[in-house]
Amino acid sequence: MEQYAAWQALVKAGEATSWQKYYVYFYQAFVDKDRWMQYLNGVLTTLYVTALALLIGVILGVIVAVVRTAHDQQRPGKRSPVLGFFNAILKVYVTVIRGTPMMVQLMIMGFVIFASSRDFALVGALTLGINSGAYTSEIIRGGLMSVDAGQMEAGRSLGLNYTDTMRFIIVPQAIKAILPSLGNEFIVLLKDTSLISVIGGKELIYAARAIVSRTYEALFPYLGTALIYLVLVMLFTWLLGIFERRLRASDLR
Amino acid sequence: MMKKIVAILCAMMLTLTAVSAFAADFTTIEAGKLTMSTSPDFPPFENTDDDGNIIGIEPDLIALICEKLGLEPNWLAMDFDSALLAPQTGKADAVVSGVTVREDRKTQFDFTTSYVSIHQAIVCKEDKDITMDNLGEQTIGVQNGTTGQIYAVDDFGEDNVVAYNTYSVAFLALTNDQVDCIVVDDLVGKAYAATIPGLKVVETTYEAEEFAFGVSKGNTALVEAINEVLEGLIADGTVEEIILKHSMN
Repeated sequence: MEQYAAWQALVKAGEATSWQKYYVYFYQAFVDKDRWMQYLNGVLTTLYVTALALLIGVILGVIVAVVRTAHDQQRPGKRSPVLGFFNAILKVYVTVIRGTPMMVQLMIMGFVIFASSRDFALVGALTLGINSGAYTSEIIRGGLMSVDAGQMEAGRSLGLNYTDTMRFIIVPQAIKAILPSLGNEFIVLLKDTSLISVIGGKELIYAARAIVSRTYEALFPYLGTALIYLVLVMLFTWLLGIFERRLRASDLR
Repeated sequence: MMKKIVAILCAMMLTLTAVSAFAADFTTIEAGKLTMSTSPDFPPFENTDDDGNIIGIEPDLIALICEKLGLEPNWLAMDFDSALLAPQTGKADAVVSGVTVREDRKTQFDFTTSYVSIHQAIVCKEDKDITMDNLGEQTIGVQNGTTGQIYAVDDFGEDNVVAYNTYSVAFLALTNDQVDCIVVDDLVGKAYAATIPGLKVVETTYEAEEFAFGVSKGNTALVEAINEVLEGLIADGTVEEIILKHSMN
């Protein structure tokens, strides 16, 4: 602390060595005035938003994928109009969400649709979840469609109904196939949470920018933020890896 | 052959004289141009018109200064917190964005002479009763990097303050009732209140602040050159005239 004050005076006077300069920059970016607390709060918001968006995204994605696969895999001549109706709506949802930038969706949700909400993180999580749902649904749909039609026929001919065939035969095979791309989508989602600062969400980059505007020094706050995101993504990847290995256990022969 | 050499020599001499004519005794990152970072969401100091030009008090002042110094103004529009960092990282010669002279900023820039004095003000909806006394109970909107943010966070804590990328977004949030009030420089608050119906400006007790241009650290010659012109403009009343002109509308 005393050393920081002394070296800070040197930096101000322009007489510090580069080691002293970077020490001061580091200290004022993380330690001084307990600024690490701001990053911590930011990370907590980031994780909260990611978790909530992930939940919304997966639920939406599964619903959309199941309806759309069910629609596409009907036997010719026996098409259900109800499924057709929902399929059309969900197709519009996927088209609109995939066809507009994340940032624009956030602005619309934050300042138009939820213009009276003050829970910016929640609005952000909802927007990200709806966005992620569109991408997730296509990934899941791809997985379900990739399972050979013969598997469904075999299941049904053994006396299982549609739901049971899906549950015990199709889904377990599909999950394994989509896990890598699903992991990709989750990582993108985690990093996209940084966008919610534009509507006032106080996540990690919001904290870093606030600190930069106090210290007028961008190096450590931004580098630190990048490092925190990297660590979060690596943790995420590691967890997904474990999950994937466990699913693969039956593949070894 | 001889002719060619003479021609080349002539050309070289021409460019040399051209350069020396410009480089009176200051340097800019791009010769013949004064490159400035700004956050053009700060009327009447700087704003964009419908053609995307940056207009306002400071562009007018800079135009006069550049004319005297034989430079061409070159504006780089960005968010305010980035604009403050631009001179330091060598992207701009100066930040011209209604920058308050602060002790801690003096390590980042060499400030020119200040040309106007302003106060912080509170802007809120007309039906709200917000003063300095109950400001702590409100959600306060500010722009990231401004003195408004520094005061609000220091006095009322991070939880009561929402910092936006630009003041225009902060005022959008105010009209949406997403924040209760905005803390901003009084002239700017008045300019926004004049364009957005139903807003009022309340005075604060924060100390007066001085605006100046923040020139990149160490470019003393440029500061002196700007100061010479700027002080002349202050002395003959041109600065006041320009400020009045823009504050009217």
